[in-house]
Amino acid sequence: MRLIQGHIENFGKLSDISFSFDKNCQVFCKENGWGKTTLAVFLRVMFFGFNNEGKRDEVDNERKHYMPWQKGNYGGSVIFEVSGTIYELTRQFGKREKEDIFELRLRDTNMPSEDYSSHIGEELFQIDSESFQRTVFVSQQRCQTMATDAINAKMGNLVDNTDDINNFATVYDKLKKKTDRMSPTRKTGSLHKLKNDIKELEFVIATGEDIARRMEDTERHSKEQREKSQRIQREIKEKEEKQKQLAGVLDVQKERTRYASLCDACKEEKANLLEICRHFPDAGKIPRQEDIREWQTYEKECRQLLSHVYRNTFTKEEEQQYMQNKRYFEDKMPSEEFVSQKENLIQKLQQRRRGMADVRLEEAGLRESLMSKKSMLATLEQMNTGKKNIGFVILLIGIFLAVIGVAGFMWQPVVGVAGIVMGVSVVFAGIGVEKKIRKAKQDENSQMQQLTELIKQEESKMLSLQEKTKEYLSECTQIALEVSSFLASYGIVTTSEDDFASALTKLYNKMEKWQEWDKKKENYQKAKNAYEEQYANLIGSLSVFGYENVGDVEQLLQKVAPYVTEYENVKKRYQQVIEKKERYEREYKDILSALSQKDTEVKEANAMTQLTEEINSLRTQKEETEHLIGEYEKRLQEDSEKWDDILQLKAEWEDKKECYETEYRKYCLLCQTMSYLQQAKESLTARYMGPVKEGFDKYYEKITEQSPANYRFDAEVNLTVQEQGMQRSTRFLSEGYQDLTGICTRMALIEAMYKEEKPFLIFDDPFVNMDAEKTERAMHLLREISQEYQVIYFTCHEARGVIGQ
Amino acid sequence: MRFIHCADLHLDSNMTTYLSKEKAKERKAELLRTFFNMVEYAGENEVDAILIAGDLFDKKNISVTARKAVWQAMTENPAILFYYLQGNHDVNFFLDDEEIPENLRCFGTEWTSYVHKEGEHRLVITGLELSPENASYASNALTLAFEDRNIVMLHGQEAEYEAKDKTEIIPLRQLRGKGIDYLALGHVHRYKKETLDGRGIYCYPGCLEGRGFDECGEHGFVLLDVDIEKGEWETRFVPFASRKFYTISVDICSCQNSGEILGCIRNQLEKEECTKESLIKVVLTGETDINCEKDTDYLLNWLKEDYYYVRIKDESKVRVDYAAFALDESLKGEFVRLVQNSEELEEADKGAIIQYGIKALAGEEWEE
Repeated sequence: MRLIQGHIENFGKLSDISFSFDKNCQVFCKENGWGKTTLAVFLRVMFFGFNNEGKRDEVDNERKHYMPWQKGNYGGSVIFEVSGTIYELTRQFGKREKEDIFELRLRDTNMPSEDYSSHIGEELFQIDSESFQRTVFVSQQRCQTMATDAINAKMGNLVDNTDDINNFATVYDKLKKKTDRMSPTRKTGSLHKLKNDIKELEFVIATGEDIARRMEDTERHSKEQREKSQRIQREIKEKEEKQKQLAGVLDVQKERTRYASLCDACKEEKANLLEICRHFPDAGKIPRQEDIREWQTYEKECRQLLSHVYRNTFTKEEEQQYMQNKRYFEDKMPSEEFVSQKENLIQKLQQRRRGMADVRLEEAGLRESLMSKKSMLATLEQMNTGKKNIGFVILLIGIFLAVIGVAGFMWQPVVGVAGIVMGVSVVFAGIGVEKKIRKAKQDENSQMQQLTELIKQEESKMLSLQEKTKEYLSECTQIALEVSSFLASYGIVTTSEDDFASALTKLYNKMEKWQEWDKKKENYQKAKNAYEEQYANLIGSLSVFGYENVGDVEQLLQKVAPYVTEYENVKKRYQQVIEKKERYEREYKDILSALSQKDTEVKEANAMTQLTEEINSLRTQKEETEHLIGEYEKRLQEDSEKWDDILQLKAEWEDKKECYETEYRKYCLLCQTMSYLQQAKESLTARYMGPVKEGFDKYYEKITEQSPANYRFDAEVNLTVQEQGMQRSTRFLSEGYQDLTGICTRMALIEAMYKEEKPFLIFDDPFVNMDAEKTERAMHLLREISQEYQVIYFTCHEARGVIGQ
Repeated sequence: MRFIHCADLHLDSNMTTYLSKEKAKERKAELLRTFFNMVEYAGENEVDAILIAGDLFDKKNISVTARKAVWQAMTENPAILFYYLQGNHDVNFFLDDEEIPENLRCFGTEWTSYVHKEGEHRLVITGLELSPENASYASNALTLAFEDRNIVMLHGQEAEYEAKDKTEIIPLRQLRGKGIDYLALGHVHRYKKETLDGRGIYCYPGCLEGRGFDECGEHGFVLLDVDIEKGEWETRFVPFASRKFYTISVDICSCQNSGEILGCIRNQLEKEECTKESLIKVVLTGETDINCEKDTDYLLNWLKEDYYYVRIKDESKVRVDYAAFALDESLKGEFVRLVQNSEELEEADKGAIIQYGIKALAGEEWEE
């Protein structure tokens, strides 16, 4: 690959300038300020674009740095050759990358070429801009170099492997950043923070143990206080019991008064009782109210019985009538049943009499009916006989008239016809009449037969009625005889049967009257007997209670009753008082004995006061204890909540610890990943380390004519030098040696990287730090290099520009 | 008679593991609510008694809220008897003497029995709270009448033999042939029902609510119906927890990126019928391709919206095809070979390092 021509429209201070390149070595030996570095940068930018585009500083930001001072088109063109093909690369730069214009044409045909893109540098050299500057492009003051990923990739032929060694630095950097972010030792590391969090949690959790202990203590204290509270409660109860007992004893005076009043009441009621007893004949036998009520009932009954006696006593007149009746009936007092029988007989007689009248009435009616039927039968028979020849007569008349008519026809036809017609008509009329008569006769005959039947029936009925009449008559006669003989036996004479009823009623009335008197007599006797018995009982009962010769019992009872009531009331009150006293004595039997000891009252009162004080004290203690229990409960609740928080923190601690372990493992794995990647890279680069070292040795010897034995490359392609028994960085060498070794390294790398198509090399006055001898040798080296590579060399000093010669 | 046999309610438990403060608080309240719901269930289903076989509370210092809530549940349901046997977590009794409801029956460190008579038969509920002092002789000291229907309550870990140093061991061998019909146990947080002997069974109802990923699956209580006359026993496990814990393993060996992994996880969650109330731990397993893109934060971000709680544990490994790099003369090939041949690295770490390295070389950005 080589550069052929170049043209700058405007780039930095350079404007409208063209230049061509020698195929082996092109030296630009110009004075300071000509624009050599600008031209070198132009060549680099044409292939790789600007560096530091993102920087604000106009010096650092190349795009701004090389913005044309004189304005105009920013850019230019370069003609170059690759593998026999010549291209013309044109770029126009804008203010931003996206405003840039890239154009590639085939020089032969002037047709646009797509062989390379705007990243033509990377594509041609297979390295990035940085690697280009570390190898092909040797700028002023930057001879030292080192292998980049791209250089390594190019050396390892891994340029096409995009996610491999060419990405190593980025990957390593990312992993480094990641592990740094996670670092357990760095303050900013997430694991460090997590570890701190865990430690903090452990610290807080450790304080939780104090809470647990405190809770145990509180629980114990609370339990003690609860037991104490219960004990105090028991003591209070006991003392209250004692207090209660003492209170009873202490109230002696009051009890004594109560007892005395009870005793006085007993005495008073007893006196009242004795006083009331004087109103009774026998103080030992005081009637009860029930007795009084019973006596009053008896007495009332006696009075009622006595009024019965009086009511049933006969007057003189009644006595006479009674005696008369007694004599009348003597020993034949009919029974009511008997009289009733007779009464029934009389009624039966009357019935029969009425029956007989009815039969007779019926008999008369029947007789009348018979007579009418018989006359009707006779009339019918008569009529039947009378109707015998009327039809026949008319027939004959008709025939006669017809004969006359026939006869008259011969005489007088008209008359004869009329006579015939009339005769025939009369004949027909006669036949009709005869038929009617015959039918009437038949009807009459049947009517007559019916009538004959009815007459027979009625006659038969007539006979039975006559029989019945006879029967009734006989019965009536017999009853009338019996009744009249019965009445006659009581001296009652009757003239007709009509007197029977009134006579019997009279007898009946007499009987009733008699029975009434008899009843009255009987009542009188009964009332009298009952009264006498009742009265005797009443008197007897009264006498039991000492009431003798009692006159008016009612008056006596009226007098005695209030006393009895009062007696009972007094007795009841007396009994109540006695019971009350006895109950009191039973209830306060201990106090009764103490009542006489008046001095104990003071002693017990003192004990009572002491007890009260003790109870009050205990109550205060209990309140305090309960307050304490409440406090303990509250504290327990608070501590319990804190303990819950601690448990929550413990869970959090466990989570974080688990998280730490997981993350730490990940961190370790990432660290190991980095380590193994590093090892892999070193192992890989070690493979082309030999050729690089050989190249270095070759170039080093050429420039210095010294042995490069003290120089070594590490796996990172970093050059070290053996100094004072140790491998040291070349940074410790002089500036001149640093540049020298740097150029040798660059050449060694280029040699290792580009086996086939050799690139052009740009040297922007890199030998300024070398002494004359070294510079001469470097020039010599460049000459040699230019045999194999196209060398573009910029210098401001003629001594260093002899290369071209 | 009908009983609810429950245990290990661990009320007042802090629930702080995994959960945020707010959710821990919410879960703590949910434990209490589930207890209330269980008592309500008892009321609605003619349950005569609730057997609480230990660990009603989780800790020594019981909050006033929890104490009062349990007391309220008991006093508001006077028709239901509560048989409460304290477990190893129930360090302090939760009520003062004067607060004890009439329907609460407690046990002590000596065998205590409560008798129910029905006709000619008796049902006897006997229980004992194990302690270091009584652990050695407790099982031998148990005497029951064989003609009775016997329920025995204990809290501890079942074992064939008793262990000298361990208090909470229930030696089943010593409890056999004692006339036990139903051994109501607590302590094990998973439902278990087994034959005790020729006559009886023993049963752990498990905890009422799961509290962590070590308590996945169904949780609830056992409904026990006893025909005292006939001596017939019937048990049924009733799932009752308000939320369920799931640990779901998802093999992501065939996935190439987070989207595909998310799809695999979702499929698995659907298969397991996880509801939105669930608490889920997703464990990523399998060997993924070295180029597989996997972002657990991304996955979590998607899943946490759909469930009450989700965490992701990545236990997957990287599958490296070393043969593909054997002749690779690049940095990548050199790196893989170096890692492969390293003797100081664990196999699991090798995969991860290779994946990190290759992804780094590929220019993958690291998450902040």
